[in-house]
Amino acid sequence: MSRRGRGLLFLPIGGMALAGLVAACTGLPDAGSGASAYGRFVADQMVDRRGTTDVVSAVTFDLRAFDTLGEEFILFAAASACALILRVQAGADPDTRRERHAPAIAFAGMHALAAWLVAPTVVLAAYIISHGHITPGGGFQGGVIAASASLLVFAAGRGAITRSVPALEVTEALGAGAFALLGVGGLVFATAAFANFLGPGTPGDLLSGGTIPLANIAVGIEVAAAFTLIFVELFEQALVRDAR
Amino acid sequence: MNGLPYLVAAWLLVVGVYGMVTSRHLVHLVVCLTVAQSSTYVLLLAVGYRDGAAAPVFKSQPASTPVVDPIVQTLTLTDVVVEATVAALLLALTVQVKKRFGTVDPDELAAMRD
Repeated sequence: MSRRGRGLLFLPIGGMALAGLVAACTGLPDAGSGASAYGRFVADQMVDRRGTTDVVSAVTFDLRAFDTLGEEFILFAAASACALILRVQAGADPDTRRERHAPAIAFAGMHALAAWLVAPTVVLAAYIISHGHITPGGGFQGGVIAASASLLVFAAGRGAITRSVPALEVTEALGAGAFALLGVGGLVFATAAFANFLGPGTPGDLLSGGTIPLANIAVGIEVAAAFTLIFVELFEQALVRDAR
Repeated sequence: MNGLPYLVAAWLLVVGVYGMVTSRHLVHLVVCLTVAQSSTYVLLLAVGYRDGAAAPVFKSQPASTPVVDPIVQTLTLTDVVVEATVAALLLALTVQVKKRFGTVDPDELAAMRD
């Protein structure tokens, strides 16, 4: 079917879908009418019971930690799959794999600016991860910021980062494994998997929230390594193409 | 506030699917998919929003402050991560499609299959 035909076919179908969705929206409570009873209860209790002032982190890494484990392994599997899909042809051509150099994508000022920004980005990532249980942030957010530091390294003209693939894979696995171990720790030291087996501490302190900051760090390492791995595998495609 | 966020979510979904249906480039298709997926963020956050309420972070506000629903914010976080992984996988596949077939136009790819 031609593109025009598909577009024309979509108009009635999309129109009906939109009408159905709008009709469904009229049955929903007004946006802004408030949080669910569960949400209100959690927001009331988490500061006292878990010692975390960021309730979103408490839900992610304590109440719903088991879901977060699944989410983390989705990311792990996707990063591994990216590496698998993209490496098929890179490995088939051994010469281009050894010829690693930064592509001529930028002007000198951009190299300098990117190099300058690497260290502040890493510090920001460490801050976001380590304070995830106090202020907005956490392992996922900080991990992505840390991974963006690897993009800056690449923009600074350092293709050498693509040599660190095995280390990245090991780091990713360690991060994912550490988070799973925290779940096992709940079984060993408390009653259930992912039970918070450390004391809550004083809300607002850096060392508070029990296992939540540890989970933030584990997830931060995993996310940073997974996204860096995805970026590196995509960089390698650009490098291989440039080398030809 | 009223039902406007819900309508925005519905609109984003339909517009994203329209872009996917009429796409002429696989990267464009992936971007359209992320637009369609972003409708779920708007929907989730709209469900948990509370007029005049603060963020569910009690570092610098008393514990009795009314806050928006933290549960849907966590769900949105999960959603964002899944979307990022889906986009990364599809882009990796796009790179392989380009290498193997020399084109990323869905129509040309379909014509090759016939």
